[in-house]
Amino acid sequence: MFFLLSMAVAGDLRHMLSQRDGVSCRELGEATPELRDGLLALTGPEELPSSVPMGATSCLIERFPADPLVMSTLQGWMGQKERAGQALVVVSMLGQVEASWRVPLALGALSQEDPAWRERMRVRLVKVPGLEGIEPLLSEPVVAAQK
Amino acid sequence: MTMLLLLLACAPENEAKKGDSFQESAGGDSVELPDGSSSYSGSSGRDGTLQIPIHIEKDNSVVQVSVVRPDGGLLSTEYFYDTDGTALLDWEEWYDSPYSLTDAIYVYDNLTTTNWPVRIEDGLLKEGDYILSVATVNKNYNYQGDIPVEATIMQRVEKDPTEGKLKIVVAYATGLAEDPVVSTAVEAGVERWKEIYAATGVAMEVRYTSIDVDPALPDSAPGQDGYKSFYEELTEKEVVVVIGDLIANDRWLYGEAGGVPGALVASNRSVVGVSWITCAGADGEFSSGDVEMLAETMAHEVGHYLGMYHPVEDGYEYWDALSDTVECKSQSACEDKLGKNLMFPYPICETQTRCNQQTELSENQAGVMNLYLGVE
Ligand SMILES: [Zn+2]
Repeated sequence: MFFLLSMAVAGDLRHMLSQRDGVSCRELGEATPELRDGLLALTGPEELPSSVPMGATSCLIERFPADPLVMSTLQGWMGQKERAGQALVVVSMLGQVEASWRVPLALGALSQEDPAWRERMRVRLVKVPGLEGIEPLLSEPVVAAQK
Repeated sequence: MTMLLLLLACAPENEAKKGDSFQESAGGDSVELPDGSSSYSGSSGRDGTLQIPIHIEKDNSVVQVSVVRPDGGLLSTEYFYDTDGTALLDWEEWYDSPYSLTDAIYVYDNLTTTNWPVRIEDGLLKEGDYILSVATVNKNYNYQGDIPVEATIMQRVEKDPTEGKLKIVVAYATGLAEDPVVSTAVEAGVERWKEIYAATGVAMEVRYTSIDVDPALPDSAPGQDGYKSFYEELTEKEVVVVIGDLIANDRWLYGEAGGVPGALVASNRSVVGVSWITCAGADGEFSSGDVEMLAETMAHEVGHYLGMYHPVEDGYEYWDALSDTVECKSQSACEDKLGKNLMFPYPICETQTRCNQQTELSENQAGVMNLYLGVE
């Protein structure tokens, strides 16, 4: 029953997140477990249009910035090549994430295999507050030789 | 918008009767500027309205007027009167209408931009004296009198409303011009975008530069000071497309235009913002389908800036004011009839395989584009 409910929620959410000009994350509804699970179901990198997984990621951060299930899920794929774009979204919005999750998520982004992606993450992370513990990792540009 | 879905109610304390405004004296000071445009400075009357005189020069037939409140307060356009006092634009006809013609009539911020004619059927202007009536209002949307405003009036010849040239400046947010994944995709996307617009008779001239703003862009409206200072440096009438990582102030989107139509004067929202990472998708790399999405997004958002609305809004109860875009009333009917239109509100994709191209534009949509002042 819960699974079916989540599928229905995900269907509506997919349509809302498909809008070319976007949708406010607040318009997606109350920050309930159903919304969270519906959004998590849409973060698959194969989802189309591309605004669906990207918007789902963004709205999870905005609406559930301290939710352990959301944060641990994001942390689980921050270093994956097929999620590099989503990881960049997380990095760009990291200042909105509950403070204790920022360093683990940042470290995940910095574990991307491709040095070009690690550098993209680094230049954005240097502006994020609350990453004092990993400053040495952010101070020098990532170059291919460091791979 | 990104369309500005800004249907804020204008509930005047002392609503002027239709037509009264035209009788009142305009006052104010007009100054001709070296580039052929003119500026006007004046103040709203005690009733909170101001009639701005617009003299259309010989041979000119298209005008764009951007009116600003330097004090940062709110205003909107109420009427645009013909040389004989006929209201060509009457805000009350459109305000509660299911059809959208121009955002100029909505109270949004301290800028209102009117481009006339909007549609081919509105008819070209001719030499003579027109009047643009604007209203200054307070935060409760009641008329507010004795408020200084400044207007920029630009006009041009329209020899053929089926062809014209549009100047675009693509401005990369800080650091993105140096990222080859981004710049390569944007340049390929622009070439594709040129093909899409060429079919409407709009030829594009594009140049690339950088803008000193954070790649995490704010909403294009209200925008930011950096957009205004960037536009102040421009020497030509260009539409600015800012490429950023994302546009994520509580919204999630591919892109967003700073107005329908957008202004050709410096303001915090004289831009179209586009999120490259949303187009690239979860893996952050551009497939050919992702480049198409980027091209269509730039074309769609600039389409808003040129004055086009979605042929139908999601919800299927609001439409553009064009007679040749179908007035469909359900998701299936609209996707069937309008799903290939560039201005359709959302991409239509076969789940997890591919998205259909959305590049078509009707004759009347092409007319709106060509009648934008910046499409010369
Ligand atoms: Zn749109």
